[in-house]
This record gives sequence, structure tokens and C-alpha cells, in this order.
Amino acid sequence: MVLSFAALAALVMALAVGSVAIDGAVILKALTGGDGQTETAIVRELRLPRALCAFAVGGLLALAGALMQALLRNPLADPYILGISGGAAVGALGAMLAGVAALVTWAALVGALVSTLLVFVLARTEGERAPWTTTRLLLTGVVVAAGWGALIALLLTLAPDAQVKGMLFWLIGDLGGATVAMPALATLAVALAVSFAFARDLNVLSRGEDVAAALGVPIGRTMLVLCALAALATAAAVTTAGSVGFVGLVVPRALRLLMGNDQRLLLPASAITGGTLLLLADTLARTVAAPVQLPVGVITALVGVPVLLLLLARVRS
Amino acid sequence: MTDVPNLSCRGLSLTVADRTLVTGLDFDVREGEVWVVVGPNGAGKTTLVSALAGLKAPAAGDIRYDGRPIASLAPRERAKIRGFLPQESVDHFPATVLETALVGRHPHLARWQWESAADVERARTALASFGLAGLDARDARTLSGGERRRLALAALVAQDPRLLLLDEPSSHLDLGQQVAALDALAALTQGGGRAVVMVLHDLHLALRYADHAIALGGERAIAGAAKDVLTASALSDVFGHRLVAVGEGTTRSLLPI
Repeated sequence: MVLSFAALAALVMALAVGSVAIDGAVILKALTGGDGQTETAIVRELRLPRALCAFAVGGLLALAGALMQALLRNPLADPYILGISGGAAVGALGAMLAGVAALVTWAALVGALVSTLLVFVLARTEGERAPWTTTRLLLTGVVVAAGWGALIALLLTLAPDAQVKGMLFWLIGDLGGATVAMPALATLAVALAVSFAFARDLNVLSRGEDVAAALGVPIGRTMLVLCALAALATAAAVTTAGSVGFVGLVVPRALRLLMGNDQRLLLPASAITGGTLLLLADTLARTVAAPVQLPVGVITALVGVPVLLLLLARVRS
Repeated sequence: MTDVPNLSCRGLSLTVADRTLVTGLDFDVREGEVWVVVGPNGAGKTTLVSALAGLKAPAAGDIRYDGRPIASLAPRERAKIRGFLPQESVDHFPATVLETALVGRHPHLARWQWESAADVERARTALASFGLAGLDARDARTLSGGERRRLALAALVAQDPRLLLLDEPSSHLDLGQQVAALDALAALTQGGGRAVVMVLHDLHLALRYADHAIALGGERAIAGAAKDVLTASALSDVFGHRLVAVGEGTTRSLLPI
């Protein structure tokens, strides 16, 4: 109990440090650029929404990743494991190819939800306790994702050269076009609150389905609610910034090694850390090769790959 | 206490993949009793305790806890009454010994509630009664097979059910630990209105701890007082192999010929 209070205090501190860093960066930019009307406008109308988008997307992806890892009881699960990013990409790229730029976001959202639904319908079995088993969900997700991959390749081949770069940016994950943060932030708040209510159920589930069922956890309902929640969180993230990789895989995994597997701490900590990390990554993406803006997905992958390899090596030893 | 049995079972039939294991089994488990389930491999011992725990629907029959049909009890309500120890336990993610034992408190806590000092105290007492005191902060995955089995038992005892259903509680334990663990379980039935139903493979341990027994095998089941069920002639039929009784008191056993 003392430990969990200490961890909560650390969590509040992490939140404060994160927000100070955000404030500091924003204020610094506003100050160095002078006090003219334009600079203030840049901060208020361009950078603040983009920063909020980055935080929300990072938080959503890390939270969805933590949920998928706990639900599938597999530390290598990520938000895209059920083919969500593939479905969203096919939707978004299809809309780009059709020349309806205004519908890209909605098409991505529809694609993400269709893909999730497809995986759940295809993976359904006559289970003893839950209509879905983790292995079947994982396998179906991987196969469906492979199908989306083929469609993405087809769309990229069909697209005129001028559109391919935009499509690639979307596929890698880019916050350049992110201007509206509210839907993603609201989804993050709701997803965090709902998943927190199920956190102890997830702790019990990590002891196996037999034990969880014996302790009164309704396994089927818990899996359905939380998978739907993770899918929604991922869909909100993907429609805001494209399929940014590695945040959802690395953040929960690293935090689990650092602070254990109590989901009541891990879920909020993942959301906050994921948000903070993606915010830093996006700031780096905007500035490191300025005036060229890199897609943030490049940074997360460049940082995420060595970090993940390091973690895997540490677990093996 | 009242005369209502902790567990009552009427006309219970069990099938697995169209194979009939048990038909029309009746018995009552009352407070203070230790029931042992014996039988050859595949006879349906695990299926029986899973069904008694309400985790697997029987083909037919009526199961009641404290006189209430289990279908009328929500999963959480059941979890406050009966505890279940599966044959094998798994650890998917790292957790400390204390955290693992505290998992047993889950059904007693409201959705937003955290474990209290009393819950921690209860978990520590349970750990100590299975010889795991002082290991609170250890990663459960670094424990030996026997220690992990005792940890699963401690989590079950921390759950504090009045009906304990255990599938081979003595597996992975060495001789001394088997006796110590089963002594601790038997001690739980002394007061507190508790009863134990457990699957045991070792007939010597079954004879030593059972006051009642269920023998499954050859598509039939017998339930009753241990002195009637755990006999050389009855179990020779059940196991399809001749057994002879040897020894007296705590060294009494049934040996295959």
C-alpha cells in the first residue's frame, strides 16, 4: 500500500514534469520569436494544437498497447496487432487516391473499425468461458493485417507519383496535418477512465483464465469491452496522425520492467509516458532537419527499434 | 451453524466430447468435512471439480452453495463463497509474491477499491501458513515449482472461501511439503464453517486426510464416507487394477499389486 502511494506520487510528479517541459518549450519559442502578433499566433494556433495532438496520440497508442498486452497476455502485442492500422491505412489511402482529401480522416476511422470488427467476427469460436481465445485473436489479427498490407501495396502502385509521398507520410505517421486535438484528447480521457475501472480485472487475468474465472472475473465481457476500447483508442490515434509505430509496443513494455505489472499503475503511467515521448519525438521531427519536417513515425521507429532490442536482450539475460 | 450443506450436488452428470464420465451423482459436503476425489487418468476428476466450482457447465444436475443454486449467483458472489485451485497455474507477467497472494482478495474489493492493510495482513498470514513468509518482494517467476504451488495455495486461502475446491494441491510438492500443505488445508476446516474438496493422486494421502471420498472411474462414481469408498475392493474396480490394503493409522495405504 505504501508502495502504491509512492508510485502514485511519482506519477503525479511525472505528469508535472511533462507539463512543465511542454510549457517551457512553448514559452521559450514565443519569447525568442519576440512578442509580435504573428509569433503568438504561431504558438497558439499551430504549435499548441499540434503538441496536444502529439500528446493525445502518444497517450492513446501507449494505453492501447498496454491494454492489448494485458488482454492477449503477450508482452509483444501492440495496438496494431489486430490489424487496425492496416484497415485505417487502406481507408485513408483509398480516400487520397479517390481525390477526396476531406474524407481521409473519416475513411481511416471506418477502415480501423471495419478491420477490428472483421478480426473479432473471424476469430469467434465456441469457447468455454469467452467466445475469443488469445491465440485465435492474435493469429486472425496477423493474417488480416497481411491482407491489408497487400491492399496498401496495391494502392501505392496504382497511385500517381504526386500522391505517393503524401501516402508514405501517412503510413509512417505524421503530425504535420494535425490541427484538431479535442477528439483525440477526449478519447484518451474516456479510454483511461474506462480502462482504469477494469485494471484489477486485468491483474487477475494475468494469473491465467482459470484463476480469473474462479475469482469472479467475467472474462468474455472484460475482453470485449477492453478490446473495443483499445480499438477505439487506436482508431482515434491513427486518424489523427497516421500509423505511428513503436510507441504502443515499447512504452508499456519498458514501464512494466521498471514498475511491475500492476495495471492500476501501468495503464495511467503508459498513457502519460507515451504522450510525453511522442511530444518529444514530434518536436525533434520538426526541428532536427528544419526546414524539412520529418514524419514523427521515423523518429519513433529510429528510437524504438534499438530500445526494443535492448529490452529484449535484458529480458533474456 | 445451520444444517445447510456448503455444497450439495444432485443428479450430476458430466460429459467430455460426447463421452459420459459420470451420471446421477448425489452428495452433500458439510462444514468441517474433507472430501477427496480419486480415480484413474481421464476419469473426470478435473471436470468434476471445475463443474463444482461453476466454471464448467455439467451435462445435467443441480449444484448448490449453502442451499442456493449456483446459476442464481453472480460470478463475484460465487467467488466469495468458493475458491478453486487449478491443476497448473501460469504467470504471464512478472509479479511479486505478495501481489500474487493479494490477487485472492479480488472478489472482496469493489471496482475502485484498493487492497487495505487488512487484506495485506490476510495475504501475509496465508503466505506464512504455507512456509512463504519473508518472500513478499520476490518475483513469483523466480520461485521453484514447489514454492509456486504453495503460493497458489496461499492466494486461495487469502481469498478466504468457505468451500475450497482443489485440483491436485499436492502436485510439484516434495513429501514433507505435501504433508505440511495438506495439514494446513485440513486445519482450515476446523472451525470457520469451511469445507475442502480436493483431487489427490496419492492414495496414501487420500486415506490420511479424507473423511469423505468420491471415486470416479469406469463410467461410474461412488460418493460417501471414506471408510466405505476408499477400500481395496471398491478402488480395485475403479482403477481396473488390484489393490491391497497395508499398514495402520497414518501409514495406512493401498498398494497396487
